[in-house]
Amino acid sequence: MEQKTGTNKKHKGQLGVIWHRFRKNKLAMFGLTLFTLLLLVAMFANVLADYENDAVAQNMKARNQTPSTEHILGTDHYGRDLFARVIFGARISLVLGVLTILISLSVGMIIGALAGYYGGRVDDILMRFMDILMAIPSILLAISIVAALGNGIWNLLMALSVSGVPRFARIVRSSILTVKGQEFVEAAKAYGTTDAGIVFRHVLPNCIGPIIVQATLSMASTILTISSLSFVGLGIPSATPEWGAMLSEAKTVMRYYPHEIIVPGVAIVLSVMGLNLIGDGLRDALDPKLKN
Amino acid sequence: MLRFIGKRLLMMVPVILGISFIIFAIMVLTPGNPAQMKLGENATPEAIAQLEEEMGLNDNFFVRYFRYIGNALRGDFGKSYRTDLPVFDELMSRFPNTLTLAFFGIGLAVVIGVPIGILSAVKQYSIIDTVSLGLALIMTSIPAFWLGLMLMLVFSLKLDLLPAVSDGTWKSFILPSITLAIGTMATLIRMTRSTMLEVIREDYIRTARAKGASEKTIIFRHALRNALLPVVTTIGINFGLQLGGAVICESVFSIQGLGTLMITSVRQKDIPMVMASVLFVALTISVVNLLIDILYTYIDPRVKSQYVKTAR
Repeated sequence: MEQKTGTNKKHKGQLGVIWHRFRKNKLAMFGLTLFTLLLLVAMFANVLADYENDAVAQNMKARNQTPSTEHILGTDHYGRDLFARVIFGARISLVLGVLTILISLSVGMIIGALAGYYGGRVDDILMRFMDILMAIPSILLAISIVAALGNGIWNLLMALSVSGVPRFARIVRSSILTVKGQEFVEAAKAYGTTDAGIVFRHVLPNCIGPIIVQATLSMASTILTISSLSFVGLGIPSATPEWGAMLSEAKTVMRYYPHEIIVPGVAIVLSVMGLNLIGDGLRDALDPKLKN
Repeated sequence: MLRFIGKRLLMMVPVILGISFIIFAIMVLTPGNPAQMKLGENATPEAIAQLEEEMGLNDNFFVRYFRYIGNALRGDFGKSYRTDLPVFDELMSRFPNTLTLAFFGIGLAVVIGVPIGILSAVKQYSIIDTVSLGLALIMTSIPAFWLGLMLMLVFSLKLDLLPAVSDGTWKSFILPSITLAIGTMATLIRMTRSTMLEVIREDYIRTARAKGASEKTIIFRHALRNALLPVVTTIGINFGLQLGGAVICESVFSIQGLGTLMITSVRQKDIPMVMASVLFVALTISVVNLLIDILYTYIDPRVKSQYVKTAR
């Protein structure tokens, strides 16, 4: 991949420099475009189609139709409009993805901050626990949690969040360790700032870059996991327009109506690819080694 | 060497205990009474109470955990709630399928991914490089189960070349292995490429060139061996992901492995089965990581000498 670097970084803030470098990376911009498109489609899904009538209600007269002017992506086995289902699916994937990241980020942040800031015993116990969580493949962990709690969106959310926690905890911990001894932290302490104040106001802003990169990449893998779990029937119930659930239903008729498995699959590939490209691009843009 | 292996084996113990503890805790916290589940809806309270006593459900959490571990060490993972047969037997009958799939998957990923990565690095910025990086990008973004469906659609349902559903023959392993290999292959292409690029710029490569070694010797004797270490690490890490992915992949191709067992057991709330199969997979991953660590010492003499020093 080409790494053109910004030359005129004068009169620009740090964010400006990062944005400048990100913008020069064509693949990253392509990813950003894909993601923006996904975001827009998810936001205006209810303008483009009607949830009840197009995406959920079964219409036995219009089963398994191939793409036409009336149904631009065709219809599924139950006569539901595939375009409507895919765009409402985008909403589900995005909302679940964002919520998962927010939960695992907040929990990971607290654990990482405690471990890094207090060190010693606390650090040992918390980080060993994180190591063990990381040793279980996330899909297995998610399956175990779904097995225990049962199906449903909230349980799925919980199952997905748990496996994301250790990654964020590690990032926060390591950045706390690097800034802990620095003068500005000492100064803040001398001013009487509380421990929590130091962590949130002085330490976290220093690791926001790696956190955003990790969040983007985690969201890509979360979208994959959601659809995989729904596909095997352990995630979102199949009547809901979720991409994996759609594929699970379409599997039975794919021999005769291949468009029914192609449409949701392409939706997953494009959104995951968009997020991966943004993540990679941000990592390059934030890398101090590539500066100047 | 034996001491190294011994030490690594000892290090595995707390990890496995930790994993089993977490999985056990998740399963015990499951709402619902196992005795009730086993006996069904119409059981009398007396029968449930008696079975609870027999199953030791009234004991303290830690007592139960250590009893479970103690039994597990003897190969007793309890009985399935559904069939009342020993869980271990069912696991052993399905385990070979999962393992075969995972090994084929990783093998394929290495055999294709590493050479592409090398080629990509050697011919940096060429058309080959661009194409293989593009491929790697697409491969990381494709959900394995969807790729499986597409392959099945093309090669089984349309062209009728390969079986769509597993029948135990080697032919029926081809599509699932490709499905499983793609993700790791993408990682390997990127990883091999970037480590090769780093190594190629090292001084010893320039020295090799200066003394007139052929390009082939430089790449395979000098560069590849040094670039291999991070690649081997990646293979080790990805083996865990492979086994996780196998769970989903098995259900696409209806392979009778641990994954399909796990999924049906979750649906039927067969807790001992779920727990044992997750533990089994975690254990396999730990063993594979141990093997990778041992492999290190053969690839990189530095690792071995490092260890020998600390051992004394």
